Amino acid sequence: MAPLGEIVIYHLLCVTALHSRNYIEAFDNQTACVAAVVKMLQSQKEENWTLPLLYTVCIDLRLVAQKAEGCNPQSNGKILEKAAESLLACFRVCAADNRSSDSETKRLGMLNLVNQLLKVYFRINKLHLCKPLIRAIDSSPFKDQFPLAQQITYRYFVGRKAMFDSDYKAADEYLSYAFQNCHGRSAKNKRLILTYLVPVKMLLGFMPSKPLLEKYDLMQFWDLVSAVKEGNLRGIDNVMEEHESFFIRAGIYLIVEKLKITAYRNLFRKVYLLESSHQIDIASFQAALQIMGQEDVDSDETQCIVANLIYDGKIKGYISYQHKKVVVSKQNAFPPLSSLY
Amino acid sequence: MHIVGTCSDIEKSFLRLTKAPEACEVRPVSVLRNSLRNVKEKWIEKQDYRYACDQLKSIRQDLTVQGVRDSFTVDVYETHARIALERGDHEEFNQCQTQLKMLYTELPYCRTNAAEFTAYRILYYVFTKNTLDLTTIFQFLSKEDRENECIKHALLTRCAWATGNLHKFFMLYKTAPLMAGYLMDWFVERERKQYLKYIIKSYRQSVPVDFIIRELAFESRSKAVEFLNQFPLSYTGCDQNQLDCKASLPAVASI
Repeated sequence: MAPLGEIVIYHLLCVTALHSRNYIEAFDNQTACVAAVVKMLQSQKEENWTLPLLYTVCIDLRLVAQKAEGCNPQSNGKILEKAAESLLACFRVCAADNRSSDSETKRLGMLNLVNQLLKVYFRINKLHLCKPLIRAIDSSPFKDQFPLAQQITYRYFVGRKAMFDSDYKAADEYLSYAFQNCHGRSAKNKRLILTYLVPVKMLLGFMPSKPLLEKYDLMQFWDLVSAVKEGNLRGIDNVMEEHESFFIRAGIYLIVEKLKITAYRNLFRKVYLLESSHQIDIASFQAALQIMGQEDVDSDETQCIVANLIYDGKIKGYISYQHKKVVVSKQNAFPPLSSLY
Repeated sequence: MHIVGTCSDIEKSFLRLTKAPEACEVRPVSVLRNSLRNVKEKWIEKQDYRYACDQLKSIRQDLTVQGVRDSFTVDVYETHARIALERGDHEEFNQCQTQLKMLYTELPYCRTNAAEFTAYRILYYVFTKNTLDLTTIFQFLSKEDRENECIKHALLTRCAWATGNLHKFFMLYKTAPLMAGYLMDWFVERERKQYLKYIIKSYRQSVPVDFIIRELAFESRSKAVEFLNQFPLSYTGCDQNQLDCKASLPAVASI
């Protein structure tokens, strides 16, 4: 039977199954539908007009898989993994088409499929599988020709991955591109991007403005901003507790926690400015920590926190064990965080 | 349809299956209970890890083949996980704790030790620096979980490690509950190197070696010296009892 016939039949079978809420059956049929589309694509030389069809059946596959997962918790990601295999097959058909002309090549479909795969891998927590796909896109001659919407989605996911890999500079670059180029009317998407861009920028030393956070309904970060600026550790704990489910669901709880290091730096800088001396007793830092909510901190722990900051270049100076003092550089003892990355 | 075994061997070595097994090659649960008892006794007696691991893998396989997933299965995996923990077998431990995670979800009445193993899982993610899973595990921790001593300790350890507070990290290492200490042993050397680097880079002119022994939670002076002698460090003071941080700076690259 011609592939078109198969495609239509499996599509109808999938729709029927969806109608009776038989999601696993729907998924199996959609998988077969996708396979049929792949077969058709493979038989077409020097043509890529069916790419939009491929995109549609792939999106449907992912959505049906997600629905099936939701109704079958014991699957634990297995259904989405199978979906990923189908999507990879589609991707390979596109990527392998390197003999056609630039306007007829199926390689133009690569980014769309990579984005589908990235969405799946993020869902099933298998970020390491993203690497080869990212490499393929970054080395593609069509890198800048893919549609803008796809580029934004791509940068969003690659930026999030960079965040998890603690590569904050790269995360800033990708997420900023996504935010700046995302259409002003897509408020939901802009908010999503900001949810990750804001903490990354904060770690790099750039605080968001209140109007920005208000505009995109992200005031959870505003409470955080003041606590971090003041070096208020108890304040940070309170914010993290109050907005815990928000931070956890977005997957940024651990990044937000890293802002405690920034808070330590800000707090110690205040102590330094108050003492207006470049030799400060450890006991002064310890007292500041205690006032700001870390009541049970001792001299050794205080020294360790200072040592960590010195090691990272956030304080220029050294600790004298014998005199229990911190001696800081007369110039630029607390370099601006933004200069460190 | 799962088969029911008829083999009655208490001891049986692990043989990877290449085809569906015959009933006479598989042991029923009643026999497996005795097998597990035997493994536990032999472990206390001889501490032969290869034997125990081999026997336990065989028991696990027989359970899988017969489709048995109940409290006994949990017991088997918990036993194997503990033994692997003690002997530092990361891979085997990870296999077992992955299975246990699923079993605890499927069997709400077999969760007596679930909190303990969740704590080990958190520490395992610190060992593997798996920031992704460390983020998602929060979504599965209930209010009760957070109150549990083992989980509290694991979360505090994770937090100290993530915020560079190695002083606190080593304090928590010294007070690790149940078998958490064994797991932390897997990455304690890595964190000791890191703390040593902090110390060399941030203290001047020198620090007492006793300070390092204390902060890096060494059991004894000799263990500390063994660790420090790996690196070309400089010492000063009477009896070389001070680490000369400034002079040791070039050594940082090799730590």
